[in-house]
Amino acid sequence: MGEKMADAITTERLTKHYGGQRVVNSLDLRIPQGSVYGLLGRNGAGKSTTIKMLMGMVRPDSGSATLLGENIESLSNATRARIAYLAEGHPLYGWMTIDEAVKFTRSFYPRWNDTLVDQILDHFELRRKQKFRRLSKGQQAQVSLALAVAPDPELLVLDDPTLGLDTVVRRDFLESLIQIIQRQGRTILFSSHILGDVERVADRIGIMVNGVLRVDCRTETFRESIRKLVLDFAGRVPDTLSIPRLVSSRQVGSSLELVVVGYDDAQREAVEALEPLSIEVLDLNLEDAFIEYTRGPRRSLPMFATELENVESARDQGAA
Amino acid sequence: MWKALAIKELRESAGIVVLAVLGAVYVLGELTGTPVFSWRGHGLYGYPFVSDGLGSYFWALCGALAVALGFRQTAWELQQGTYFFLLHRPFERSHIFATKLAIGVALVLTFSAGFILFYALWAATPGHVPAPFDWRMTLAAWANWTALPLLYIGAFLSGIRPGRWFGSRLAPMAAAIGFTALADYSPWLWGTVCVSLTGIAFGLLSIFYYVRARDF
Repeated sequence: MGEKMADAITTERLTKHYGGQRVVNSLDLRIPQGSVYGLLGRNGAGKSTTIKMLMGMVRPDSGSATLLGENIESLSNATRARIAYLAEGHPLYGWMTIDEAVKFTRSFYPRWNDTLVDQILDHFELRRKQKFRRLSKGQQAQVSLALAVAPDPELLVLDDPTLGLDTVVRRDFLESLIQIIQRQGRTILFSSHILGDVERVADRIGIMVNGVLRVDCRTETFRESIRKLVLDFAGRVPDTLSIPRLVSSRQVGSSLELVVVGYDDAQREAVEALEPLSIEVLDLNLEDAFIEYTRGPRRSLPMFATELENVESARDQGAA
Repeated sequence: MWKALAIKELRESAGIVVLAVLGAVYVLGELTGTPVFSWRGHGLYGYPFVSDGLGSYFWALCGALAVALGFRQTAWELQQGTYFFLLHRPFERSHIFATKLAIGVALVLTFSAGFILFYALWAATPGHVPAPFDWRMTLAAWANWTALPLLYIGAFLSGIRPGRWFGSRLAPMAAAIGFTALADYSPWLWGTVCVSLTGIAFGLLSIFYYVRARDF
């Protein structure tokens, strides 16, 4: 029997309120070492707050979390040195030159790969004498990336690293990111609301909806599980639906568009019981699946790593 | 890393200190009867440390420096989002803020001490003032000097303490001004020092509480 991979990140009922609003709600998350995990969600879903709690920038109201096996409340400096964090917007001191930023950041770490920094700067055609405030958004992201990976971190946490970058720069940044971060055992958690980015990088995804983690599974599993059904009716479109694992429903003229998790016999029978003229089953790409999953007027159904067999039990967990 | 942090704080404070030095040149010109701007008449308007309006100049110049530095080191980082670059580093958060405070207090005290000393040395130099000079005349200025960190810490605390709105956010600054006024009006030097130290201790405790407890 193979040795079970330890978790790089775990959270247990992690919760945060802002004002009266619960922005992260009892988050239970396990990210195994060596995985690339994409945390998805619409604006305000709780992704950034989750990452900020993990990085100690925001204090959780309740619950707990560990990074590389240590509780975040008492994270030692030795463990912190094994973790890199790229904050949203790539904040850095505008008055610093790239060289000053490198020297400043290097002073905090016992391990620092200057050759790697030079390689990254060279790859992006950045000169050490350039001032950070004179760089474009894309170049600022590139410098931040170089500073983040230079200490050779075991865990890399990136909060929406491609936010504000144009398509070409984003693609270039991600390709470099993949090239740089692919080292055995390195774990990456990154948040995004751009599905293409996630698809390119992540092997697992989590989707947060209104502070609740509603999806936690392999990227492929999610994509393959979400189906869109288009039902045509001769007369009145039924408004009462009892279809298992229904994510959303929308009436378009005499058609009814349904988004469901999976499409098994029970669901097929329930749909056929509506007596439509025709049923069209459409596969969705990841972006469409994400949009349908997160925007539905009905509350999104949970879908966890145990996949479809356990969806029913997971529903109770997610709704808690 | 202490050194890197200290250099960063000094570099970020440099602009404000340069402005303060320019201000000091103007104020010392006024106090010594050699105004920078030519439309002002030359000559002394009072006796140094006795009836020269030094207190007003001191608070306007050194107080402004203290307040500006306090906000620059905290609220500016918050506004720029650079705390997200700095505070997750493998270094105690309290040490990062202790470095900020040490540099800030050192700059405020060194600058204001330099200002007082320069003026006192000028006044003590024979031929400058047609009156005798005794170093004890400078005691009131030094008493104000001990109260100066209060303003700096008040601004620092205002910059780091979360507030629901602008007014409540500035509450520590208002409290610091109150403490400073109390220290300034104390007829005894030891009274000024006691009030200053009490206010400073309270401010520092509050700062380290918010450093640990607040969300960034």
